[in-house]
Amino acid sequence: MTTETSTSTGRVPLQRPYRPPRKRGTTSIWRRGLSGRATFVIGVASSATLVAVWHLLSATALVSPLLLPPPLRVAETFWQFLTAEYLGETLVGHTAASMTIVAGGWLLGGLVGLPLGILIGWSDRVRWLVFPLFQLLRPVPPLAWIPLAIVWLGIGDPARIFVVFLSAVVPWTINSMAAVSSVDPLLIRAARTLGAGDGSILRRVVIHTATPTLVAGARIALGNAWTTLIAAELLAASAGLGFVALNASQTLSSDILLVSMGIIGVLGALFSAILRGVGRAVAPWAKEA
Amino acid sequence: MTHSTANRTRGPVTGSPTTGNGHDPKLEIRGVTKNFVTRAGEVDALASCDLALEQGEFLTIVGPSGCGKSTLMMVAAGLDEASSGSILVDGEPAGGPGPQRSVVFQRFALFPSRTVADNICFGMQQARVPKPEQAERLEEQLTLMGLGKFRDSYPHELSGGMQQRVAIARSLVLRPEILLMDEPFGALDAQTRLLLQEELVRLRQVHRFTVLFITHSVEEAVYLADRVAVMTRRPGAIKTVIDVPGDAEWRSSDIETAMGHPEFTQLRQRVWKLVKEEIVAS
Ligand SMILES: Nc1ncnc2c1ncn2[C@@H]1O[C@H](COP(=O)(O)OP(=O)(O)OP(=O)(O)O)[C@@H](O)[C@H]1O
Ligand SMILES: [Mg+2]
Repeated sequence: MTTETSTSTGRVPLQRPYRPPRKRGTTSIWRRGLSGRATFVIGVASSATLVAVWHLLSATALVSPLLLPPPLRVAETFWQFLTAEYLGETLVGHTAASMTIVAGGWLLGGLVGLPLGILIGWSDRVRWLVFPLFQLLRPVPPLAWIPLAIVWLGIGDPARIFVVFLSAVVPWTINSMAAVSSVDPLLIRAARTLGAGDGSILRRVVIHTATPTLVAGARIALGNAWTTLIAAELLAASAGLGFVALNASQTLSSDILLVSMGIIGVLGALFSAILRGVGRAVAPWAKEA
Repeated sequence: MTHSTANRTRGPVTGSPTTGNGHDPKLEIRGVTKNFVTRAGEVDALASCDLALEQGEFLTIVGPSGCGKSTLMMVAAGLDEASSGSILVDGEPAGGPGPQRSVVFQRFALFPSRTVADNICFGMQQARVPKPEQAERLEEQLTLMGLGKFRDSYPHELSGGMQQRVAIARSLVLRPEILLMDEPFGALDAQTRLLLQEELVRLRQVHRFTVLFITHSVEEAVYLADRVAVMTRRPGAIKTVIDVPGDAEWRSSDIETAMGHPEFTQLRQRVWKLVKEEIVAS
């Protein structure tokens, strides 16, 4: 995975200047870029090294197993709680609980943010109307909404969905807006001379051209949603991976804590990878961003 | 053409520059001025411009860089509002842009998300041309422009010259009555340029569309045109319009051969001198 700076106001870099491909052997490996397979091999190797160091640390008792249980024990715990219950749910159940809420908040965010962002980017009037309000609410971190969400919606799923929604709707909107307003106005002019009206232009030119950036916005929104959910579960929840992590830490069950953290990390990376794949599939013409 | 003076010098044109034999010109640019308001202040891009193109006429415009040629074309296409003056098609105010005034832009303006074939078909899809006819006309353009192998390529996979051909095909496929071309061959290599110049000459003999053609190349301007309009430096105005005799000997030969012809050379030098005056003066 490449790392990604996605903050709650995360914005996709719009266009990268075209760089001609470098000839092999003329520059160092770091600048040349690697094939997909090579990066995979390197990734596996570095992860293996990390696990080996971890194993050595706990095997030699340099670090107390209470603080850092050995990797094998963590793997065992993972295996065991796939089927056994912890705090009323199996790991699968907790993961499903977290993912349901993320999916809900993220989709709701898209339902609102995608059309809203497109409209803001497309129409000056909508921008004037909505954008100031949006700018006003944007700096409030999603987690700061939790107390209000609890007052409004109680401590159940709706409150968490609401907070996740807030964290997702901002990048959905901002990136959709940027995607649409970064479409070259000359393309719109060309479409007009080819007989297209406003509706056609919006659909067939603007949104079509903006698709890769729109998908990138969706990806950032999902990353945000995931981060926020875990944080929200640390504060108020009765199920979910964050909830598991919090309880495990309170009972000093470091193995379960590490398992839940591992799942959180892997799923976050997986979401990002999936949406990258989606981006490639829907916009095969776009250069990799 | 009805007027016999080969040289209409610059100056305020009184009344409409119609040709006086009762019918309206196909495309008329009447007293068009354009100024842009920018943060740095106002920019006068066009001083009063008047031009009238007869049905089937090929008019080329040459002028120093930045004199307002593209601006004039955007206004003629209905894409930009003139600050004053008007654009008439068949004697009627032309209104907004549309497929009957097809534009080939200086910067191609291809849709990056669409393949070559999809770019070319965009206008036909918009006009709901029946599918079989779309396919037929697409094939015709692909062959004409030598794009057959690239039909499924995306614009960024093509060279500049190829992209330019797609842009031209995208316009021609609509069989427009009026074709507005802004340095359409500017990005082409010499051979392709020659090929397309001759192709354009042939096409207009078949389709008789009316062409307003902007170019940097004086040779090209003379070779293609029925009349060559020379623009002044910014704020651009039509400085002179020069008739190119339709029955000139070099007409039937390719541009290379034509350029060796004394009559052609004479015309070219005359146009070049007019352009040079504007460049030197600025
Ligand atoms: N949208 C705009 N806003 C402000 N100024 C503009 C705009 N478009 C053009 N201009 C100015 O108008 C003048 C004419 O520009 P235009 O593009 O029409 O020139 P041109 O004759 O087509 O030049 P070239 O031969 O280099 O293509 C220039 O000085 C340019 O800076
Ligand atoms: Mg220009």
